[in-house]
Amino acid sequence: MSKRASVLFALSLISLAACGGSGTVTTAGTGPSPVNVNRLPDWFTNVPTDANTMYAAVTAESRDLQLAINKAITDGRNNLAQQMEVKFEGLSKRFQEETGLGADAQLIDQFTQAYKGIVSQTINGSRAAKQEIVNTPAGGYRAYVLVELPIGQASQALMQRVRANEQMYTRFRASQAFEELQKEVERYEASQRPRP
Amino acid sequence: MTGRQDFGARRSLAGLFLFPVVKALAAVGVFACAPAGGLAVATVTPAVAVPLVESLEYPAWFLTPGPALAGTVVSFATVGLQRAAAESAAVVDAREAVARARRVRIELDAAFQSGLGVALTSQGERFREIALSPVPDSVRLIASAAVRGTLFALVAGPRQTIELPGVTLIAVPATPPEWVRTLPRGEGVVYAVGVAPATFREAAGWLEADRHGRAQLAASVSSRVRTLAMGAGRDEATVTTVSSAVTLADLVVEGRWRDRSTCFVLVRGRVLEAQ
Repeated sequence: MSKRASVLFALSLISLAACGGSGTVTTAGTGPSPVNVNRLPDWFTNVPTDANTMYAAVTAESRDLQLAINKAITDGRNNLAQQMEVKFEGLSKRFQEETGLGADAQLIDQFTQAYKGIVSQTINGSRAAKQEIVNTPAGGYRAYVLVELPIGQASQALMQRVRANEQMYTRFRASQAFEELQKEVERYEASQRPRP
Repeated sequence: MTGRQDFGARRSLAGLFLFPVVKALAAVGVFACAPAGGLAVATVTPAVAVPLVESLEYPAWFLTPGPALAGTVVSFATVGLQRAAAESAAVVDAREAVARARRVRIELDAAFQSGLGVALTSQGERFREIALSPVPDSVRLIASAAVRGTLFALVAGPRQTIELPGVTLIAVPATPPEWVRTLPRGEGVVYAVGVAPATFREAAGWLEADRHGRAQLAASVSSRVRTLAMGAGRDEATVTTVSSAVTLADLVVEGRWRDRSTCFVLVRGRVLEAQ
């Protein structure tokens, strides 16, 4: 091999070595990336509101694409669990006020256990309804995700637990808070019925 | 139609002339890879305008499988000297995937650690899939196509009748399909989008996006999330764990799309059991 060819070969090797980077090797592609670096998604700044759904708009950054997405979605689910807990805590307080259960600590305890069981066990039926992935200037990824959770499913689970406890059910069913819970469950059940 | 057609050689006229030029320039170090972006132009500027990429084409049945292909799976193999050997390898690999598509138990455990005021996070993951349907003794190759050195094989179960309307290569649309940004809804089914970096190994990106989609599907059906926070302010560190165990049926890939650096796969499934 001539000296010139050796130098050319060495330069090529150096050039290839520079490809190491983050381990992500990019290939040929088509059009633009589905992201806009300078613009936040509308749903991220104006989070939608809906009587039957809870939303969490979250973001996470990483040099690893999947990690950015996975972390954002998990944070979103965590956020939804917290929202659910706040909602049921409020419901518990209203039950206490409406039914004068302040003195009946055992019954309140049972109710708290019922909703905490639902909130802390699992988040069922949540979905990453919208997502945007942005390439960051540092060479990583930022994922914006809107995670949503239908409220009705958890309300239905709570209602089932309340109904299973006869004493609790008898005390709560005359209250306005119970009526609201019942309506949420009915809305959810109606949305689950197959449409003709 | 059960034709096996070779599309590997088909390429646009411009690509025929320009791609070798790009390859030659890359060989002498004109281009260098950016850490996480496309091909970056180094300090040497080529005298002529040379496109950095060639247009991407895939079989239509791969990008937009459609309802007619429900129950089929796509398998990959490296195309060597013998096309038939690659097809055999892809078909053997597809058997388990066909069983998994029918009925599968997915178990997912992931943990994220965000450390000491640093925005970056590390992740550990355990992903397990158990086919609950019997693995078929044989499967049928419906169609295959060689794309940039990788064989894409469309495979169906032994008793499945598939009528392929035609086998053509189509270009990946320049703009992403709607489902890349907004998850569709369906009655009695759940959807998820899987994402993975595209690499020089065609199969790796698509297979990983597919797996990521199934993991997202499981987590969407049921997730147990727990967070432990330690410290406060700049010293705060959190560990978040998420676990999921679900049984799904009729897993289908409804769409695939990619840009320069990322593969996207839309997966759909029916929930049989969630814990």
